[in-house]
Amino acid sequence: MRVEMSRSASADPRSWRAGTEEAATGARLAALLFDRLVDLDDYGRIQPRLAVAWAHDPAFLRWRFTIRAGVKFSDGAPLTPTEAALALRPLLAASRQLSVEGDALVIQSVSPMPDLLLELAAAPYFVCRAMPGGALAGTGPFLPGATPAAASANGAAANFPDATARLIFRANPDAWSGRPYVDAVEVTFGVPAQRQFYDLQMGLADIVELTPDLALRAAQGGLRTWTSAPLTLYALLFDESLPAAADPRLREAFSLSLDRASMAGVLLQKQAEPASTLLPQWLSGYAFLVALETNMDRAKQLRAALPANFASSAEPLRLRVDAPGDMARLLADRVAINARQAGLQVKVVNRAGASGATLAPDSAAELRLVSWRYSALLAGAELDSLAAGLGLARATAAAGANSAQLLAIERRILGEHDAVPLVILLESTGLAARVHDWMPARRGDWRLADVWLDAPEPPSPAPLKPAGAQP
Amino acid sequence: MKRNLHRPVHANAALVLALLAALFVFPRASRADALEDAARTLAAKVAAIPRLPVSAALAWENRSSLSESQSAVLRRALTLALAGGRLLLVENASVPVLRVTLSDTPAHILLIAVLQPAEAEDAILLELDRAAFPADQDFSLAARIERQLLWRQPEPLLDGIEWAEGANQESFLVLLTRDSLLRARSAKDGWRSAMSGAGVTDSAPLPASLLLPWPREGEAGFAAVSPALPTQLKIRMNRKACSVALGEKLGLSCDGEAGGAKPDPVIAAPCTRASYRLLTGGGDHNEKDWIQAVESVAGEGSRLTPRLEMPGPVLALTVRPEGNSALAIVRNLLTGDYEVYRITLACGN
Repeated sequence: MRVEMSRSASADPRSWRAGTEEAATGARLAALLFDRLVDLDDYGRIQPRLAVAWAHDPAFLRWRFTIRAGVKFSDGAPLTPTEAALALRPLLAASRQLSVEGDALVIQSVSPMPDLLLELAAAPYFVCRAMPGGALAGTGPFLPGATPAAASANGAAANFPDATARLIFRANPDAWSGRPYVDAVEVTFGVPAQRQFYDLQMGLADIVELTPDLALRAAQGGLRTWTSAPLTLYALLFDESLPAAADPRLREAFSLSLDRASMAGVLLQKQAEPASTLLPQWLSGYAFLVALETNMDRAKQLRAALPANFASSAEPLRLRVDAPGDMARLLADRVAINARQAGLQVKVVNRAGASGATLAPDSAAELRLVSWRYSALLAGAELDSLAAGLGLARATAAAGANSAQLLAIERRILGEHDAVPLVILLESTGLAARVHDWMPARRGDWRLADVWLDAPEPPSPAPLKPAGAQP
Repeated sequence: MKRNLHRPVHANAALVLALLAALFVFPRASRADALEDAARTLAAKVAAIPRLPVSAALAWENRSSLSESQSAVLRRALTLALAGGRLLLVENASVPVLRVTLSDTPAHILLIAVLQPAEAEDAILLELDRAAFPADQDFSLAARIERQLLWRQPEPLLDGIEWAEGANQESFLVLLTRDSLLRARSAKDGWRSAMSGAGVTDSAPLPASLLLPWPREGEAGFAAVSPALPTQLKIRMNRKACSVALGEKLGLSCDGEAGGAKPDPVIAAPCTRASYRLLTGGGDHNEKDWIQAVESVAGEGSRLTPRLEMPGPVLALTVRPEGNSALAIVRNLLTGDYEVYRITLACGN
């Protein structure tokens, strides 16, 4: 099975930075190699993986996970509660204490952990084993990747068109969950979006990542596509240390000028949803209660009340595009157009290293366009992570808060316009016709171990030349 | 192939039956209790709203993964609980609206009530543990519609049917245009086009008696298709009928008898083998249409798959004799081409 990805990433969960696309790509690779203690199925049910049973005390302070017997890592070492504890220790908060009790792993805390199962069912809580030399061994359906050259030496097929980075993951015949259907997954990293689309069309790839414009083209061209739940937030952040951005009237005028529906529906061709909150509806359950609508008249009124030099032609607001990719730049341009309609002048600048006008990463800019890729299954944990990652000072600790409290926290952030959500992007995947049982999770897990492929057709015999025909 | 990890079960049949009975009866009962408890709790919170009006109209929306039957149980329970409290539910446009929404997160089912007109800040959010509302088994096998583009051509298509022939059971399309029948190899790995001629194996002109008056799209096509006689097709056009013999060469014999009514397009889901009837929006021919499948479940109303949007109007839907897929003829509004899609049901996400 040939998979193409836009970027490379490490499968080591300890190296992931929350909210980044690299972490999301890493999680897809890690799912080939490693398992978690538990998983969440498509119907909201926790399913056993490396833990076959679990129990907790009435106060949810102590959880006991019975570890599956007979499971081996890819290096042959047996899975034990101690190995599981060693793997999870660097990933869990320091307040969580891990210990071993017979065939079980015990996780304890001084504060209740009612949602620990959902926490462990999400990235990055994979169980892997560090081998001498730093490589990681796992219990997953595939064995660690090899370069095409190494794989060829081992007899595996490797016939790629060019020399971008590639890894081959071989099926693990001894996987406790059963051998996957495909013999190998060949992952090519760093493939440009247009190239992925072309390779899918030409039958050179089985699974590719599609950008919003190409997802639409693929669907119109009759190619198979799959779309995830909204997974990547694009938002604006104000730098309150700068006078113009510190004025709440300017921030409100800015927010009111934005046409999110047009950004999602036209610019991103319905591959995104307008964002009214920082968390998506599927994660928070309450996003539909909040409406952030365009109100250009009110935006102009607020602008008129501001000092004339704020966001003027002479002193435009600087909008720095911190989010990666061309699409972020397009969004920033659209933000500038909307703001200009309200009388707010904006100059879009890129981070250092990008093409066009640039600013060094530490240079002052009144506004930043940022992105955040969701990864948790708990709204409170995700909001905490997002607030920390984006530096939202007014966010209070959300982990453990109930839905009403989370809504109140989001309202406070949105009310002060510390962060202005724009859109939440869906992820589109292109699939070859020969891919079967593609059953990914809506939150983005691909589940490649369940996929199988049509066997290639035997080569047809060469056509016979008509008698007497001359070349 | 995957290994079968399940060990054979050797158990007393009576014990197994008793366990199964307990599994199916008691969880449903406790589930209903949990729903009613939740409704009573929400009713109490609504009753505690300051300056609660005497009456309100109830607007109900289920945005959650709870089934429609579970939603209905909850709605009934809430209505009853509110009736015993301080708020009278009426159907009157002039009274405030109590808007109740079922929503969900990976961790919880949310019951959200907002009394309008009011700010959403006044919303009541009630969290219910998802584990108390496990998905119905049938729901967990819920079907969805998938499509695959098999054919595309600029000339109008009126109908089509997919057919398996020969020892290899190779798939063919029999396509009905305004003036001829066409037989073509069905594409395995993507769409084909009549423009290239690739895949067309045979064609036969329709007799002149069928051609006048000029048939309108969607008003002509294949009539009864019998699994018992899979090599005979009936064409229905202009209240006249022809039989098509699918032999080595396409054969047409027009005896003038009226063709039978086209049966409802019903296909089977691969997971449950349940039968689903395919529905379309049936809108104007210059609008995009959709296909949806509905399964009727005794006592629980209808289960619907999500709608699958098509790139234009669906002109015909014909089920292949085996009943496991259908062909949809669609006019793509973007390109103007006529497209042939294989419509199947798949299970899971």
